[in-house]
Amino acid sequence: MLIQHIENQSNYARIPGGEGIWVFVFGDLVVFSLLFSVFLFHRFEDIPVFLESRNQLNFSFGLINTLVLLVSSWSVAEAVRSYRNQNIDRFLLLIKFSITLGAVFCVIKFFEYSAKIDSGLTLVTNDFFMFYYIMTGIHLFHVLIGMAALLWVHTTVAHHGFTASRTAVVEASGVFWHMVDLLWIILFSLLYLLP
Amino acid sequence: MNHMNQQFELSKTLILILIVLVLLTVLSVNIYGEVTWLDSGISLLPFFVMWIALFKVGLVVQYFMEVREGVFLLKCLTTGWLLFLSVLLPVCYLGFFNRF
Repeated sequence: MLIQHIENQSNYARIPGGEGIWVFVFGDLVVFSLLFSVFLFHRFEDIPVFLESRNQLNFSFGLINTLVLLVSSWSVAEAVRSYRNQNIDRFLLLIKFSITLGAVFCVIKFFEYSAKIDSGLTLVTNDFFMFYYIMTGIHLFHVLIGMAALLWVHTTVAHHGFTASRTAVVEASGVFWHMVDLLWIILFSLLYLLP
Repeated sequence: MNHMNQQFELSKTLILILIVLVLLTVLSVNIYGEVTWLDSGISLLPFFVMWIALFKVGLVVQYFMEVREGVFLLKCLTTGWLLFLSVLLPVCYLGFFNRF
């Protein structure tokens, strides 16, 4: 029964974006899972310091960034659909929108970092802020890579239009951007929300 | 025409998923109070926060990353990772590994 189900599925099932991007995505997910675990391990060692430090984060910035990335992720998903439907104008518009939201995320993060550093809260203040800067810093680096990938896809499609062979590349950049979004969802809950 | 309708439906699905994700975000930032596990004193609030986040991740993976249309192995790997994390994070939170 199960084998038949798998065989039936394999007739139309696929790997969105191709195998390569998923190898990369799973590598990243494993590294971040390890970071999340180590963060919670150290949190248990010094709960009062972690709670006090968490209260010093700007909750509004975190929430706005979460909503910004959710909308940008939706926008990229719609853009990929538009590309497949050969609606290039809509695709370009949605990708531009997603890149803009990515830029908004970076600007908010810049203000958040600036405010923390001005208050004397740096990488060496305590374990919480060490994890905060490392995890959000690596994530921010991913956001920048994702924006660059989306910009490259936008430029290429704008110049050459729809090509069936390029669908996998468009999907791969989308998969990467969604990974950036899902990592932030977990980071937000661990750093800003966890009581 | 039918094909066009199907495309429109899929788009509505993505909008619906976005709305659910936003509502879950609002829910996770607004849950207060101390719900304890069988009066054991262990607050369930942190677990709700973590599991809501992982449920949101699951929605992103299934609908935005289109894993639900993907091959069986991909579905297994992503679901496996999510289940693994939904156990690992609470276990780490409770300090299970700090005992060793």
